[in-house]
Amino acid sequence: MSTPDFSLPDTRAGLPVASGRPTPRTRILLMSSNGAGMGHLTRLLAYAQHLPADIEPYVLSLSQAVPVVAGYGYRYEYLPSAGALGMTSALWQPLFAERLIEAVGRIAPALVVFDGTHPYRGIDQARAAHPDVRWVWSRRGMWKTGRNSDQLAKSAWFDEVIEPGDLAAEADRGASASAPAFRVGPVTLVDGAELVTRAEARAALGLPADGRIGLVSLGAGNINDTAGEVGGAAAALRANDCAVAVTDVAIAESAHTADVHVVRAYPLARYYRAFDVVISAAGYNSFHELLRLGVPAIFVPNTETSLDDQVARATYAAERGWARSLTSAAGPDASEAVRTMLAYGADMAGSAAASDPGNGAPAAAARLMAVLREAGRPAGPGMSDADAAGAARGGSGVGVAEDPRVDDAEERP
Amino acid sequence: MMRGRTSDGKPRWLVRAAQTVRSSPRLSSVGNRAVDGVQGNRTLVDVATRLFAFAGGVPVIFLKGGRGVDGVEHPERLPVVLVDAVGTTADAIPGLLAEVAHLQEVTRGFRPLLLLDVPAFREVRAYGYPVELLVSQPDWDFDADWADYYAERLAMIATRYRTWATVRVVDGRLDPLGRRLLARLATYRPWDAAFL
Repeated sequence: MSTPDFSLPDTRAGLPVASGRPTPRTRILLMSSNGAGMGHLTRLLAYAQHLPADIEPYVLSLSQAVPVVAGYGYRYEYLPSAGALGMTSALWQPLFAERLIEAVGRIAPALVVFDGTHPYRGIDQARAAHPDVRWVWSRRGMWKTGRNSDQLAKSAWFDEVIEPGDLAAEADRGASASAPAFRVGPVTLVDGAELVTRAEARAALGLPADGRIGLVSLGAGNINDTAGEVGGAAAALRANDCAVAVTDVAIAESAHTADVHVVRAYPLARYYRAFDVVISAAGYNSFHELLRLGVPAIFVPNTETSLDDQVARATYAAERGWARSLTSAAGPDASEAVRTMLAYGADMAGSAAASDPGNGAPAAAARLMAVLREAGRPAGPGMSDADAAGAARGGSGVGVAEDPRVDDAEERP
Repeated sequence: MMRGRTSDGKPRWLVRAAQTVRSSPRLSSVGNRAVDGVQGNRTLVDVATRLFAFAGGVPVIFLKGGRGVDGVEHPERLPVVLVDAVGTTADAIPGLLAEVAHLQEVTRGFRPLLLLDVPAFREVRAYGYPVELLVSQPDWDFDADWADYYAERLAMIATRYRTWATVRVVDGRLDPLGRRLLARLATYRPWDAAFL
């Protein structure tokens, strides 16, 4: 099996030298699809954090979670998705096109980055309306076999396609796996150096300082119903003397027992050391955050996604010995899986981290700058090789729950 | 622009057919009966909507109506009313939403679309209403005049959401005339009489 190319491009060639005179910041418009989940938005934030200081990221999102970007100092706008409006695509697409054309004209970015797997009709119209703007498609892989291949033709709408890498790329049998793209390493917003200590994480999340705590991050569900996914996961944790943390307020409020804690923070990954084990769906972001950050993880892939092949991702991780994978958290294996991860999870997670080629966000950001250069745009002094290798980043926002079960759930236009 | 399509992507043959039908009372009557026959089929109704949406007294559009109209038969017929809350502060939003929801529950006769310039998504989502967000005037730093941007968004909303009326918000409450207009929808219900 082939290994993805995670090489970093040269980021300095061709960039103009700074004259010391203040110059207007070049804007890059980061556009995320879908109305649910945080996956697309989080990936764009990861890119933004590695852009040079003289680039102004500006976010246009179809997600109502978009205010989180203000915590990073970025301005944003919201464009409602067809799903959020309950509109048919025939009525929504002209609305989308009209809004996008207006926004691009007003915001005047040099480059637009669209993160999603279904480029909406209207992007082509916006491109025609603003021919000087460059367009990049950030398109994660791991598509279910035989799905979405028609979307690949929309690569023609873009000047570049960037594929954020997948640690399970060897198991990718989807249509995008062999499609041309600039491939980078797995992209996460948080790197290991940004993790806070266990004590700090528990204090920040309002969790007890002592005792085992497991995080259940499987989307909505009834925590009192042990036949369901959330309730089954909670029961498996309790059977191993673990308190339960969830990201959904409604789940915590419905709990019949007092050992259920609700945690709300963005990005929650910064606080992963608070947990002894995480039971999570296998969406792109949660999968890579958990494995890259060395967290003992049990994946319960969401099989209801339209495109994201979570089963392949989770199965691959289990085969490599990085994590456990369960078909259902309510099954008979859940308690044993928790017991295994509490005993050996740290070593297993460590082996995953050892296979990590590094965060792909700096390389993606460097490629965006290269696209600007190729377009003859003033890109400013740009980033150094050290920047591209992964500079430390700041910024945080608190108050939004992440839902890995839907972190890449996307509406088809 | 693609050959054979209008600027907003509709097939030209479909637009010409709609124009022909709209201009003929006899064909419109046939259209009414045909649409009655396909009610309940989302795809077919969508096709009919594209043909006839602007021919009737109340525009027909698929748009979330909110919890207050849950269970209403054919909610796509209910008028969409823009609640223009631009300038309303975040702390006034919960009260405004409660006022809108009360009127909606009493009348079960309209679907609100919220226009805000503060990101009160969580509060609005609790009621199930669609929302549009405007860049607020204090945050505006583009070359164009903010008022022109605001006006353009209002024009877009009227077109794309087929709004039946706009109700302004004054000091965190629906303006009195707008409140009376919404209250009238308990009894003034032309959409109940005819589909088109």
